[in-house]
Amino acid sequence: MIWTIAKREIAEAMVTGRVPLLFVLVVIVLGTGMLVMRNDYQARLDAYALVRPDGTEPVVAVPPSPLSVFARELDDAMGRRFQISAVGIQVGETQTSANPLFGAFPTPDWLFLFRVVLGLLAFLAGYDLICREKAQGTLKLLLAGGASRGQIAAGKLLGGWLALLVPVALAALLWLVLAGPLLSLYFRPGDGPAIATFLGLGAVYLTVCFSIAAALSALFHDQTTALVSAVLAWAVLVFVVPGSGALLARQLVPVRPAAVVESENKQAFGRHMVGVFDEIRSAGSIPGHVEMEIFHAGWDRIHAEQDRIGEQAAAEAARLTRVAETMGRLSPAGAFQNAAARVTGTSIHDELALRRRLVEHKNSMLPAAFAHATASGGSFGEFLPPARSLGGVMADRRADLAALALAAALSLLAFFTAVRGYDVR
Amino acid sequence: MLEARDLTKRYEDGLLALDHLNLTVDDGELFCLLGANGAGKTTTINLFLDFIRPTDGKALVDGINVEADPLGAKGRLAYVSENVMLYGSFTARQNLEFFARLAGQAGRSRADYHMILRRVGLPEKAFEQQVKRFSKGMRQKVGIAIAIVKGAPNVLLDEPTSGLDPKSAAELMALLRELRDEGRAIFMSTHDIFRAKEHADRVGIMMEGRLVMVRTRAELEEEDLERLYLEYMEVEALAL
Repeated sequence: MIWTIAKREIAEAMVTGRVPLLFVLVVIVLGTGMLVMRNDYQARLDAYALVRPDGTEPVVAVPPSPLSVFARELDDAMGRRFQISAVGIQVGETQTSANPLFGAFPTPDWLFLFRVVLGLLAFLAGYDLICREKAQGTLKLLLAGGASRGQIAAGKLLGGWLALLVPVALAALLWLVLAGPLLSLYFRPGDGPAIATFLGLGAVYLTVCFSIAAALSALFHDQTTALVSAVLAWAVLVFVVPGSGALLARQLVPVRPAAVVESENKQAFGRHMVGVFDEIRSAGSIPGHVEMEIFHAGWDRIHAEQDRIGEQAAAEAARLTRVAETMGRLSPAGAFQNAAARVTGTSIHDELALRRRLVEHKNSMLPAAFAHATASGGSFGEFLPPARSLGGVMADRRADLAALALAAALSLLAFFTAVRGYDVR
Repeated sequence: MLEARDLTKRYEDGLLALDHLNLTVDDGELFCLLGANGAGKTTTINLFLDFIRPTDGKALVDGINVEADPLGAKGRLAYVSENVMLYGSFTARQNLEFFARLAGQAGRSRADYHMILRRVGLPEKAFEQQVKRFSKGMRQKVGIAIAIVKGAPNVLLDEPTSGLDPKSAAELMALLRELRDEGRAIFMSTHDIFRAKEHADRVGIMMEGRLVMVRTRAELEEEDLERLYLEYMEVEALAL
């Protein structure tokens, strides 16, 4: 019974051209996004080639990730050139794509396209699921036909969901297949599971959007009212809630600006250096190797304090991120963004992990860096980016996954409850 | 068999739409219910279809209480509305096939559906045409075909001849007589006094939610139904 209703829903979407139109639209949207992001990735890859460490200098540069096509987020910031020296870590220029449009418009990565554009399409696909039947006068005939309201609701939901998800999935698969031969965009051998998880999260997010719209379709009898409500709900869930979350988090969690942190680093350097010189001066005439020992001890104090300042700044950033994410996940769009960016390894958590790893790396190679600074040469160990596993990432993102699941469950409950009480007169 | 036992419906705004209706439509009987707009005819049908819940009393379909077992009751009911609306982008046959499957009547061939559409008098060339350009009469015929394909022993019709041209209305009534002769219980609300008198086995008049008169075909041969109806309407107008 449910499948009969679902098949009719799909057939109608095919006959009326909704499915083919959706497929073409999604192919264009995702294809455009992939092309733009591939160019951005390529530009950063070219920039990386120029700054790639050759082992002769204490420099760390992380290559851009091809997964930034899906969620660029902080991949740009993570790809900076980090110069390690006796005075600490100097952050160089980014592997910027030099695409000025990214400053004026949202980055059209697939995360944005799924969250905003496909999210809107999901709302538009579901807003009239039930009230359309009432408007075209078929609801009474359907209800008199022998199926229960629950079966009708489930059938229509399943049919509408498939009519939405299948074209989106096909369009996404098409571009994944064409990415290499058409756009020369090649993923790394281990990227497959991350891409699959990203798309799976996208499917769950679109399901939530579709379910919310379907619930609205069963709350209103008029298609125009349902459409306006759906668009309003989309705007609130995609822009207002996550945006307000970030804004509120900034008010609630004090975070020192980067310039202040930098200034504190410089002050620490200056203070300890003055201490070192005072110590040497007060020691009077001392052998050269004793003087060097005083210097080394001073450098150690500088690095210890700078590391502490860095840890504090990272802890503040992590707190801010946690609060913003917690507020953002009140919306399925926020939960999807939190989880998807983490899956692609371009989130702020990944950037903070990279920073922590950089500090560890710096401390491990400090003697060599120091020697380099004093022009004595040195060998610099290979930088190993923080290890991450998809399972660990998913476990870390369980709150976002739970928020998405809860949003799906609540919207489905609202839909079925509304259909049960729908006044068919 | 359709039965209403003290069937009552009072809406949330206090309006008493149906007041203790007691009525039985036997198998093989065509019952026509007359009444002004708002008299309670459609409310009665909505209660049998479980579109709304009764405030009091019961609606029974072949002994099944609609409120207690709506699916069981609807399985034995077919419904034809005043203005049969179908899925416009589907053909007549596809609409018929969908509603047949919905009623658990899968497994029929295309020829079977064509035969039913032929039986209700739909032009042959319209079988595989999208119904969005069908006239009301053609859609009503497909509606009857849906009732037939469902194989339900009880048929509810809500003013099915309203707005139909005389030929289409006559064809529809002839179909209803056929269904009645097959042993189905047919309940039809209508404003069409003349067709009610001509085709119904019994005719009832409803006023302000109450069934105020029921006459058999034999009794109506001695009385003027139109005069009776107008008398009741005058009583109603005076009461107002």
